[in-house]
Amino acid sequence: MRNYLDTLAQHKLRAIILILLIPGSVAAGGFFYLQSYLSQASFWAENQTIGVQTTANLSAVQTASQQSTEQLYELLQTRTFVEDLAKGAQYPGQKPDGSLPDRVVSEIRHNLNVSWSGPHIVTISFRDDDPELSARVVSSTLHLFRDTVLRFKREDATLAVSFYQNQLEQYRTELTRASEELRAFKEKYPAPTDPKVSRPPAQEQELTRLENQYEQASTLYDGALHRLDDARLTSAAQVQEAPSSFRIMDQPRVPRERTTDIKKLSVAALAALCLAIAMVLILALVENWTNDSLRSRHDASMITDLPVIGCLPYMDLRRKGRKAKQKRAQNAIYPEPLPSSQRAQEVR
Amino acid sequence: MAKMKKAAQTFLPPRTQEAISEITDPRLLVHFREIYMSLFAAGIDSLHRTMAFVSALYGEGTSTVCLGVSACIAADLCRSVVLVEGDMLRPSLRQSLSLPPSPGLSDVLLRRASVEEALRDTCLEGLQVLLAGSQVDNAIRLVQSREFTELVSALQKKADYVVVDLPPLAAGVVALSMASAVEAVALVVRAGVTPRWIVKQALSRFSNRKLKGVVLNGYRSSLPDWLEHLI
Repeated sequence: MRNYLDTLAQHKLRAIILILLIPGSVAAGGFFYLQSYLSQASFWAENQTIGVQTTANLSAVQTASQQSTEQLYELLQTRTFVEDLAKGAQYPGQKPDGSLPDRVVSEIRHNLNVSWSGPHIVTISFRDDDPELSARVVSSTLHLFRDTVLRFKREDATLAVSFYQNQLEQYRTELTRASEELRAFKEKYPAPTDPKVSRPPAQEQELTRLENQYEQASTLYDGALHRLDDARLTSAAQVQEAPSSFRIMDQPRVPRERTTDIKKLSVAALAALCLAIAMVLILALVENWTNDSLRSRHDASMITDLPVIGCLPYMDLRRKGRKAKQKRAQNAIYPEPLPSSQRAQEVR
Repeated sequence: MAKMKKAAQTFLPPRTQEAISEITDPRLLVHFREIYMSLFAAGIDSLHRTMAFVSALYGEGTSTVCLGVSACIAADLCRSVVLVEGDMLRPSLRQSLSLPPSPGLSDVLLRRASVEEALRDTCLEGLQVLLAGSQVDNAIRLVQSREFTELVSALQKKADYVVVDLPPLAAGVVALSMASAVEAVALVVRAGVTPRWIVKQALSRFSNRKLKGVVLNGYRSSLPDWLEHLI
């Protein structure tokens, strides 16, 4: 481990060059190469754009735009939605039966981006080499999403009305049955003509039960009838309000100029950075593995099984040059008398 | 310090003084002290204070370490030290000190010169050098003879400490023969250069009894101090 880290540190210049050079060149190349046409459109979303709410959408902190973005991403995961989208946009690569190859589906999902830029504004963008196609895809997505939202709203409203209608039908049957039973009892046991004579207690008790049953069924029926009316009103209101909860703010336009795909560029640069780091680590690993020399005290004591009695640091004592010589002369404990000095002459 | 200043008054060729002043750089002195103190602590006999430095390959810095340790002992302890250049095949001290090669060790062993004639004074009082001498072909026969052991004994009588710069183990068995005449040997290894297997091979040739430790030469760490301590 120590030797490996030492090898890494020894070649830190190479590591820095690789780490800067590879992602830098990838980013520079990608800046020119990863250029395409970007078409955008945005719409205004009200709360509960789609009536059927998922648990995630019930989150109180989510804004309408976040909900819509999530819903659109969810819809994009369905193949039907993507195929309808491609059909609307006349996307190339469709099969005669209208289905799409997996590659095209992935391509659409990858290039289509949905984001929110406020509590209500949702932006849809699509990137492609064909400017008209990118505009068509955005337009198709926008309209398909709106149609889906409205369809879901209508379905929700219809669902509530049909539920109350079924309930009303059930209560009506119960009311009819209670009424029939009461009428049959009264026909079988008519009320005494003399007001001083009362019914026997058993009959009186049964009559009271049947009357209560009729009243209860009648109350339930009236309540259900009332709720059905409410549901019909609400449904009509919702269907009418639905288009206003989804308003297109910016229509998609055919882009004129190519722009760099920052998302792809970031991914490419990040991948290049990871590659460079991996290369640095692997190179150091290979060098460390191929270097069979003794490199540290630990190595020496482990290989020789002897104590390391000294460890002389590397010093370039033979370095030429006047400055190096002067420095050595300053550092040396034993000064050098010059051959032409007075002391040297005395010795001679 | 006075001793050092006095030593500086002795005139020698400029290169010799430059070499000694280089080797006694304050940044290195502390490490040379650590080396000789460790060797002393490892149990060098107080009467026979002989030590040697050996390396596995050429260019590991053994001569530099020998010169530094010798100069440091002479300056610090105010004792006489003789530095013997043992590598008769590729001598390097005479080049770094800019001294005439002969008479030297080979001449003494061949009885062409006496020890007194072969010993050279340096700018540092107390430090004498016995260079390798004239080029010889049969270095191994010379050092295997009884003369070398007798020479070391003779040098011990003349000086308090004898430091032998042994030839590298890659040069053959000369180093092993010469090492038998000294008490303690230290292996010099150049950090980041000498392969591990060569060091292991060198160690396998040596008697562990004499080998007292390892000197890591040219050590450099690119890690910051705090990280070095942390690891």
